[in-house]
Amino acid sequence: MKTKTRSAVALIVIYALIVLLGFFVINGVDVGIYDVRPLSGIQQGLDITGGVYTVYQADDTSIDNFEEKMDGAMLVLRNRLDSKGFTEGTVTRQGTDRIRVEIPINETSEIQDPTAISQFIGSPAKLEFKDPNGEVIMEGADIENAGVSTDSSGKPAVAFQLTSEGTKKFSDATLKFINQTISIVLDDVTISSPTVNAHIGNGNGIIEGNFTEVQAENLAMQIESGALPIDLKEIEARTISATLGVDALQNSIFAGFIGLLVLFAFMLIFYRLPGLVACTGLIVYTLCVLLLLGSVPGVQLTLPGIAGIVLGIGMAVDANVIIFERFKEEFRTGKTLRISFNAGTKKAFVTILDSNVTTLICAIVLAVFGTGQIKSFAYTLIISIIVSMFSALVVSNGMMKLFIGLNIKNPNVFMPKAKQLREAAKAEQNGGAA
Amino acid sequence: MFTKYFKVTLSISIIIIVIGIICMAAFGGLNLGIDFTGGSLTTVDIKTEYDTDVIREVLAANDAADAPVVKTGTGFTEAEFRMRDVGDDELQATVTERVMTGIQETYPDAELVSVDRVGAVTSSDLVKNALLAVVVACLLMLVYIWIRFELYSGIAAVIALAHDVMIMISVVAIVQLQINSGFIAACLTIVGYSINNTIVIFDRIRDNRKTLKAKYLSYDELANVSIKETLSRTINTSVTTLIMIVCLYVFGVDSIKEFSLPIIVGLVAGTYSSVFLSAPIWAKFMAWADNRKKTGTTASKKNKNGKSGKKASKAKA
Repeated sequence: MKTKTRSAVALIVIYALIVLLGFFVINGVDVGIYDVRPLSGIQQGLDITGGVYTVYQADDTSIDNFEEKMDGAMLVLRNRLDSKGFTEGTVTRQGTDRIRVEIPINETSEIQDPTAISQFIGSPAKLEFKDPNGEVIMEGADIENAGVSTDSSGKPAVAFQLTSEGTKKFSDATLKFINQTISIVLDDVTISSPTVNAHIGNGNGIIEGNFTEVQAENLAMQIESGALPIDLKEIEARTISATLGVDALQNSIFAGFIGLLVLFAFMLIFYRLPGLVACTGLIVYTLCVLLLLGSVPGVQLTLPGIAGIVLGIGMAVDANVIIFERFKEEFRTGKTLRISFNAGTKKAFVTILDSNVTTLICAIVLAVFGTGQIKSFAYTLIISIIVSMFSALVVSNGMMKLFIGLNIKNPNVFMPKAKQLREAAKAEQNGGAA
Repeated sequence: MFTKYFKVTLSISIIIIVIGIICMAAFGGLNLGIDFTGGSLTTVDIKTEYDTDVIREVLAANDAADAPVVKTGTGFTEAEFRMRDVGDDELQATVTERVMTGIQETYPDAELVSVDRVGAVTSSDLVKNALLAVVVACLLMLVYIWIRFELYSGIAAVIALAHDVMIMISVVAIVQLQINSGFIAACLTIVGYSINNTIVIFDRIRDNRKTLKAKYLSYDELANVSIKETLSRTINTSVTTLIMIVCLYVFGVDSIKEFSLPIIVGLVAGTYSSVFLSAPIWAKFMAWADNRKKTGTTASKKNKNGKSGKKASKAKA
């Protein structure tokens, strides 16, 4: 009796919490000065809300390996877009000597000023270290990775780690030019001329130059994405509307909604009470995915992205189905509901873990190696895998235990033909004993 | 019962893939959309506020509705649209002219601003990158499955995975569905999804091998029992996923349809391959490996009739 009331109360609390979560995700809340709106925090892609495009033109088409350098420049632009979180931006070649970059900037973006972006994307970021005689010691390409740091006076600076080749060059230079000055030149402007105090052999260094935090961050990203192999000039920057109408978005949401209803009906008919638990788990899953999409950088919602989420709902049911099927199997052997469920969950856990970890490996590789759209897709996939595991193993599982704790007398609530199954199991056991 | 028809089920898959390859050869590859091929970018100054649907209809009438129409310019009075390459410049010019006349019927002041060649949005680099990522992902998944299960399970799972994507590409080639960058996302979705189904069956095989009765079962029988035990789960999960994606296909706009159809094909192929291909392939591999071990190491050829139960329990890692 005691566990029964406890379970009932816990279930009511859980449902109340889910309704609260739903309210929070859909409407947002005002807490003092904070105004949290999870849904509007989701960055939307070019196809849904439009953005800006910028056309860059190569300064000099007569240089050697022009084609190759244009391809290289497009790759660098792509990397810079990704590093700023605009994974859904596009980079295309236009005519012979122009590159067109489309960026989904709109009211949902963190960065509102298109010119700031085009400056970041389009500046060459040619970095050179020069010795006192003006000879180039090493270039930006010798830097393995760069990040924001602070100099001795606490001002933002760019810390870098050199490649093995760069380390050697730098080591030789600092040995040779000790107590002389080495200049650091960015796009032909000397940004700092530090004096070499000691021999540096470990390939670590810092670039000071009166940066603001944002400037230092941008420079670090630019160095990492590589210098543009060609000088580009911005010739055009304009706003573009969404490529898909508002109806496209509403259409997909409508499709998802209908799908969800059919799915609920299927689960309820097929699995009864556990089906209801799975449906509740799915609602939690959907709400959590929406919540996370708004807070993970680099995820921009495009139409394929929405389709991915809708599909993810279908996939998230899987973990529930695995548990319920195992539950049924255990029950068939004549165990009680509680023991069957615990045994079933235990066995199902390994299955769910292995299948999800395999998919997760796939998603992580895509996030690391992929560019642009593929990166964005991988982020969505990672979110949906983790959330679906949480919703199945924590939410649905916990709720199932509580429902079993209600001590419902009729096992048919938990699965069709449960009574017959139980009798058959009993008969078999008795038969075996006799 | 599942392994018994392995030759038939494998043949069905191979036939579909071969037809796909023949179609690709006959039609000159896949029907690549503008995202892959690039084409021309046309800017038209409409000089007034306008409805993109009108432009879209004109483009469709000229068989050039390859990409969405985008509003641009101050006050969004200009239209921008991409068209696929039609081959030669002369033909391109006539198409553009016809489109302009069509637009001018509704918006008489419309003026052609520029026609420019544009490259592919989905560059070959992106495709190469995606392929590389998938190969690396497959290798890592193989290693994971090797550690958690065994090497042959990993190989069978990756074969099933490659099969699903190949079927997807084949069907797309056979019906000559136009594909755009969404197709890459669709393929990746299937790569992630299909491995799930296969792992669940392999997990059951791993489970069943721990039981006593496994000793008396051949690999084929073990695979059959495991497939059968997981069948209702396989079907139910596939049905739930299909419900969602079919809804998207039925209610979605064109670009969603273009994306969801290959996924439906991939889902069906994935379910098929995990039931009829992956576990049977695993069973064949195991039997083959046992046979090789037997003929290679020991001279005793007493149980050569395939019932390699003892080895089965020994090989369990």
